[in-house]
Amino acid sequence: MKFLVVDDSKAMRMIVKRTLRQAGFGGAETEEADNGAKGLTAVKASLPDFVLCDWNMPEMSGIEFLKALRAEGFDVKFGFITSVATPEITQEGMDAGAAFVIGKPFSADKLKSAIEGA
Amino acid sequence: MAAKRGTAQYWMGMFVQATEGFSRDMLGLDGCPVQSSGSGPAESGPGVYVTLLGDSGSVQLGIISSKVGCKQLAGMLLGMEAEECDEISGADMVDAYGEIINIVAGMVKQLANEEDASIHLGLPIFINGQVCAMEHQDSIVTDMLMGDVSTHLLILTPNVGT
Repeated sequence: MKFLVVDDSKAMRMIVKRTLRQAGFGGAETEEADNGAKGLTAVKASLPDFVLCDWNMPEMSGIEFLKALRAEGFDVKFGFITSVATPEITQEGMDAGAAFVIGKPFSADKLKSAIEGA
Repeated sequence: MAAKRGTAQYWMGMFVQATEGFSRDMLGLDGCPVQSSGSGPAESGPGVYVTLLGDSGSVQLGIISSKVGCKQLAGMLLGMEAEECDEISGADMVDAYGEIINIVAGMVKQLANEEDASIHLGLPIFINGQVCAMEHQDSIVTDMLMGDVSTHLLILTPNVGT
C-alpha cells in the first residue's frame, strides 16, 4: 500500500507517518508533499493508494487539492487530518469526495479505523 | 461562575482545556498543573501565536516558553528523547512549535463552535520577544507546566468588559 502524506508542517508529516506505523501500516510506502499543488503532481507521478491531507495549507489548500483531483478523474482514496474538523468542514470534505475527516489530535486506533473503513 | 462570552477569561478557560487535552493526547503527559493565572503581559521569550476570527470577534492565543522549553516541547511532539532535543534545528523547532498552537487553537475553535460556527483559524506566527496588549485589548496569562517545561498561555482580546 502506498500513502501520500500532504501537510505544510514537516513535524505533522513526521507524526502522521509515525502514527501510520503505530496503526499497523509500517510496511506501507509513504511519500510526502507540503501543499496541495505538489500533492497533485505527486498523485499524477506515483498513483498512491491513499492520500492523507491537511486542510489549511499555503498555495493550494486540502479541499482545493481534493476537488482538483476529482475534476481530473483521480478517484484515489482521500482522508483529511486537520485541526479544524468542525461539522461544517467535515460535511464540505465528505461532499467533495473525502472518505473521512479526522481532527487533530488523533490516535493510531482512530487513524487505522478511518483508513480501514474508507 | 462561567466567564462572559468573548472575554479573555472565556477564551482562557477553553485554551487551558485544549492545552491539557493536547498534552494528554499528543505528548502523553498526565496532567498539566496550572501554576498561576492573572492579567498582564506574558514574560518575554520565544512564543508562537495564532488568531481565531469569527463573527463574534477575534482572539489571539499564544504559548510562550524559553528557547530550551520550545525545543523540548517540539521534541516531545516529534517523539524524541529529551537528550535529542538540543539537535532540533531552529526551523524544525519553529515548525513543530507552530503545529502545537495550530492543534490547540483548532481544539479551542471546536469548543467554541457551538456558539460561533463562523470562527476561522489563522496561520501560526513565531515571535521571539514580548507581546503586550494594546490600549483597546485585554490580556490574561496562565502559567502552566507541560511535563518539565514551564509555559505561559497568553490570551489577547478586544475589551468587551467582564
